[in-house]
Amino acid sequence: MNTFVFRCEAEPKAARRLVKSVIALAGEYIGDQGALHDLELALCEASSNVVRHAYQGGAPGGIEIRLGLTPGKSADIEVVDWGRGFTKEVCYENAAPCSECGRGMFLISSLADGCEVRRHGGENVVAIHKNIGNPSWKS
Amino acid sequence: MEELTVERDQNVLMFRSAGEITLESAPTYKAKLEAALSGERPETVIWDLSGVTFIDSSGIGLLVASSTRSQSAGSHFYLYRPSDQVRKILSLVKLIDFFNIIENEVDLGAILPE
Repeated sequence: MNTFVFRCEAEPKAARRLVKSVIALAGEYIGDQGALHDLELALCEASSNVVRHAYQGGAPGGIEIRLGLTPGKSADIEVVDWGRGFTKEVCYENAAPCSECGRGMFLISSLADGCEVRRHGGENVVAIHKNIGNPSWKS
Repeated sequence: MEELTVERDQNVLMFRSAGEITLESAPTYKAKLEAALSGERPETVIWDLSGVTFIDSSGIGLLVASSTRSQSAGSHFYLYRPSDQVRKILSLVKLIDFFNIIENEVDLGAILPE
């Protein structure tokens, strides 16, 4: 597995730039634009959750994305923060149609083949696993 | 880069988006949308999404909010030619049938006042 680590401050502009950097690097290995868009959207949702909820009252804090690529097989991504973590049980259900928020984790779980939220050693981790078959990779 | 333009012609309020609608651009979008929707009530609100290259759930929230607000005020609300990226996420979150979608210029012409 090829692994890469990206970091930035947990604020909207930096987080969006970070996700674009991750996807640009993934695009050096993966040729399937649909798979890349899935990864970008899932990463965007996970990093947005960090920006919105991880650090209370606008306190500064970081966000880290760990990208693991296994050519021909899968992408494994961890989105990490050191904030307060999920304060309630994680909801993977879709929001009601008229709801203006609450679709992030549903989207991530819909786009991925595996999604896990865990807290370990002060780290809050959203781990995303996506199977990406051999034809989708650049040779 | 994101871009939102607002046009008003008779009783139609038209938003046109290009680029991205994400958490990063949501505050700017929200302010522009609220300013436009707080003016004189239009008969019809149309949001042109044909130029949107990326949208996340923050953007979807803005679409839902604008629809709700418009319809609460008695306006008709439509999405116009959502791009493939927009359609994909609307399908994922099962909102593709929640919105009234105008697919082409012919259908748009039928809705706009003469």
